[in-house]
Amino acid sequence: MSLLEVEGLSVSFPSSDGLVRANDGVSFTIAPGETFGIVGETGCGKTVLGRALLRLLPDSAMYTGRAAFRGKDILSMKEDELKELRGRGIAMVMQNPTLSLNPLMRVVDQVAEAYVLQGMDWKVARGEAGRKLYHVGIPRDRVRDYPHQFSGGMKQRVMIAIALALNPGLLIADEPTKGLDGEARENILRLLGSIRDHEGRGTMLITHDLRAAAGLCDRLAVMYAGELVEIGSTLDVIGEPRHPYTRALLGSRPESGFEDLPGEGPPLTALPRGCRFCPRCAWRQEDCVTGRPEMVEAEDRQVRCPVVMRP
Amino acid sequence: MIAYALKRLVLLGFILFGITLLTFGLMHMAPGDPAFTIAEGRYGTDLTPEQVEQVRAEEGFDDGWWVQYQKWVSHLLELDMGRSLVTYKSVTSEIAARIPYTFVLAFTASIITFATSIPLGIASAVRKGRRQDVAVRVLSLVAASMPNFWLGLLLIWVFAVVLGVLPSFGAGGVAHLILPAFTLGISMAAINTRLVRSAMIEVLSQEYIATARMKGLDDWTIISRHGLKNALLPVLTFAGLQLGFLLGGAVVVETVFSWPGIGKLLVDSIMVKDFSMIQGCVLVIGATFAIVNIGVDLAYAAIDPRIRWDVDA
Ligand SMILES: Nc1ncnc2c1ncn2[C@@H]1O[C@H](COP(=O)(O)OP(=O)(O)O)[C@@H](O)[C@H]1O
Ligand code: SF4
Ligand SMILES: [Mg+2]
Repeated sequence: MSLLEVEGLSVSFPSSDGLVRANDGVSFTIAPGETFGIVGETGCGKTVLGRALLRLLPDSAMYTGRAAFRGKDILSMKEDELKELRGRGIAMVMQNPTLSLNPLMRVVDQVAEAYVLQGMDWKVARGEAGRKLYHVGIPRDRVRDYPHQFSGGMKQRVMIAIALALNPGLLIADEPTKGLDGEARENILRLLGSIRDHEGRGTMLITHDLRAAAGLCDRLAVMYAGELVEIGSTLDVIGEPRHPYTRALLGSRPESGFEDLPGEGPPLTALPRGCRFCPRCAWRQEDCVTGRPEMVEAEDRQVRCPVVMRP
Repeated sequence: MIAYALKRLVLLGFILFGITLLTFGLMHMAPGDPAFTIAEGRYGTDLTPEQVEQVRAEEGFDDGWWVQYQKWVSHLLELDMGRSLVTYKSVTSEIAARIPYTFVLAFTASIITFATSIPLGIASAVRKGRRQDVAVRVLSLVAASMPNFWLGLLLIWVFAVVLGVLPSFGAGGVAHLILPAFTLGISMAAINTRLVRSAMIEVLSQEYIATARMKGLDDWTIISRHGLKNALLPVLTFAGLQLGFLLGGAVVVETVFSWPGIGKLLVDSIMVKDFSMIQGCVLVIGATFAIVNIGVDLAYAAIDPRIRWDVDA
């Protein structure tokens, strides 16, 4: 059985400019032990997807479709079921650790809290938290420090320690390398690689950093303007990208010459009727603007572009 | 932290020095002539200009202001603030006798303030936009806009005149404290409720609260463990300034209820132009304000680790 099954999930927010369709018809599954990557440009809806799975979005968020964790529908959960789901079921390494750690609480306590939730008393939990922090690379003599005393990379480690301490069935990591460069970024990638659990825990890695995703994920989904446009094994997607957007993304990677993808995605309040990638697509045909392309599945790969998938 | 505390204490020294200068300067610029008040006390209201001049020379009022200031401060350092120009009692002992009354009044009013504003503000923030929140907001707005003297008279009318359950006048047992303390406490509680509410709403929208929710904590733990301390920081900042409000309010409330605190002493002394007593009261009120505000700074640093480090670095 899949750990996570998402089927036709749409999330939208009312706004003064109209409905923001942040996620639209998103479908994928994550198996136990699998590392699944969601890649896409900033603003395409990755964080909304991650937070929707924990029901952490503001009350104004409107959901349709289905998202099930271990067979239980997340979207219809009540408060007490959500308390069960959050932490033990799904934990998230929040985007932007600087804002996501409580500034007035020692980092060891922020980790220890996760163990207290599992029934330990504070004293034991702090010991356990110290070990977990050490495990992610925080020196023992720093655990009683406050978040502002750490660098960005160190705060990210603390955030990862919190998520791991919760011992979740599914770990979501939202842009864990954002804002980091050079060695700090490499260290976080190495840490993420080392904590992968190929047997039990599933991982969902959200990133705009294709190389990070390529190095860590078993399978990849590419997101564009709120919808998934390509899903497949990492090897296939990176090695032989099919969707024009995936190809463009790979083309814009620094090591392949950094041809920046011209233009930007459509506003999520005014999506085109046809293919959302159309204005920027080098492969477009006349009929691309008339109807929304469906996901086409072939050889273990799903691609939302009839043009490139034509036999 | 220690370096920070020391810096604050040095600052306090400068502020207190400034307060003595200001108090002294204001008294000298104030209309009226202390020599005249003293002479009146000594020789009766039928004064000759010579009598006034004699008092002026004896009291050293002809010396330069700096000489007078030095003399005043050197006495002050021995806790001697002179004698009342009217009753001839020691200003220091008169004020010392009044301070406990003002302290009890202000302390009780503060308890009322915090005991109501923190729970109400939090409840309102958590139910933002719902009926309870709207009710709290309307009530607090009404209460915050009532002037102290008016609220005091209203409470006297209801509880002392109509219901006859509480005394409206003077000091005595706890019963005497209730009306003045509530008069002083209600408007502060109203302002504080709004402050706690907006601080809590702000905090609840922060990402670290989303992290706390992500962990699967229950609402109560999220608010008490992660929200409250963060929300109280802006409230604490404001608490120092509110002390000014409290002391100013005490002057009015003590007068309305004839509560024998330092505020009433000040007003009575102004009525009879008792310059040395006025000077003593203003000095003590100003110094209290300064000391408590430095205390608030230190409390802030004790709660917020970012302050300690930023300033020490
Ligand atoms: N609470 C919200 N209300 C309205 N719009 C939102 C809200 N949260 C996110 N959005 C919008 O949804 C879109 C996707 O955001 P996000 O998921 O954060 O993108 P990213 O892929 O960079 O993580 C953005 O256009 C954003 O403005
Ligand atoms: S459907 Fe047409 S416009 Fe869209 S990606 Fe495919 S070719 Fe390009
Ligand atoms: Mg994001």
